[in-house]
Amino acid sequence: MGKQTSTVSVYLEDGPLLEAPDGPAGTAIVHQNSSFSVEPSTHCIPPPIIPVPIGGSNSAMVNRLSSSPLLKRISSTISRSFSSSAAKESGSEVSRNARAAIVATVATGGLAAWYVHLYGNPIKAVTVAEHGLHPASYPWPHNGWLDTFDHASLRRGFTVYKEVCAACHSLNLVAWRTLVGVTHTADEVRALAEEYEYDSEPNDEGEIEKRPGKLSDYIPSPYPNEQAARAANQGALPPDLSLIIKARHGGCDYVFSLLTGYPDDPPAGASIASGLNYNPYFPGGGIAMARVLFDGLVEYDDGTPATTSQMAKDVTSFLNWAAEPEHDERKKTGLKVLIITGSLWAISLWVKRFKWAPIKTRKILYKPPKV
Amino acid sequence: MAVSSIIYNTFMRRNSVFVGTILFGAFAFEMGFDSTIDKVWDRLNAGKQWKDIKHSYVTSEE
Repeated sequence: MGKQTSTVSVYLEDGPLLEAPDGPAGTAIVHQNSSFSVEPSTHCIPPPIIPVPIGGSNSAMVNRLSSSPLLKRISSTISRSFSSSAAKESGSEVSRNARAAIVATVATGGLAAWYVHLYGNPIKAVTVAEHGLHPASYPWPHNGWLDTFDHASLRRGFTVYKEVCAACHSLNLVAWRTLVGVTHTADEVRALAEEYEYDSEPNDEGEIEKRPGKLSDYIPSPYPNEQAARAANQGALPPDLSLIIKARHGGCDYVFSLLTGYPDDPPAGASIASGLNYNPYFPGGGIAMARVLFDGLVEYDDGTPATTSQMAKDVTSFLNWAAEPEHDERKKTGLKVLIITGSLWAISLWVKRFKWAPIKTRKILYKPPKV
Repeated sequence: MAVSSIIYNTFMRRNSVFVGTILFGAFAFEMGFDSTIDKVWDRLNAGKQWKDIKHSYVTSEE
């Protein structure tokens, strides 16, 4: 049939529904592949699409034939040959596209391989050992999406912090009151806070006196400032532990591995500067903090044996709570958000299908124009 | 049919009632949903929370 400029109307029972704009007649075929279901031309219904030629002898011929009973057969023949020629054309189109796709894929893969070859394996300035040993992944009680901390462990961890870590490390962002209802009762925390002295408000003479701590005070620092901390530790600054779990790669696993990872002797070949201790998990291997946790160092009030790994696990859990006091609310809110948005998503799917049902299931019929 | 017409006549006929139903329903749903999630949370974390170990310290302190 070649290229024709024609307008093809598709009728829905009682009127024109779609009008294909002028253009190559090949565009009209698209309807057969669309989701509209079209009745085959077996009964009284003519074939779905009849290209209507405009001008020339073709037009006159179709006009003459349109009233004759031959129309059905001829038009279906036209339509068949038309679509088969279109398929042949599109077939060669597809193979050309396929060739282009293959070439493009090969070129892309080659470029990517070249790039990886050039830049994928950079020379590292530091060795793996200098990066620090990668910590193992431990099954923390709070690992799961819906798991809270083991609060008995948090309580023991606070004991370890208070009796061991607090000698050098501050916990600046944690107030006494936040321990209430998490690790201790209010009376216990009050008693803990009163063990420390804080500056009071200026009195009538403008002098600042000392007063015992209250629930609203923050856990005091072992050193008044950074310089004092460095001076007491041969120049090394013990970091604040409030956010240490969030601030280190590996989080809990790293801190636990670091605390329990001091070997008795550094391995052969490891050179450690004087004043530093060897720990494979610490980047560079030389850490100013010596091993601090030894079996039986603290006494737990719940009777748990205070082994090194037990204390490390407890204090790591406690520091994770200190870094993420919103932990429980975060996980609960996440569950709520997933449930609500999941429900809304399901509803929106249903509404879409409901609204589209009549459109997707309608039938499009062709009614030839009366001549 | 009867149920839907009852719902329509009770809650949707007047706009004020309709809006009030939505507002009140939001509050009621939030309360019920939150307490349900809390129950699920407590069941999943039984024995790990402060409320589960609290008794041993409250009695010893007072």
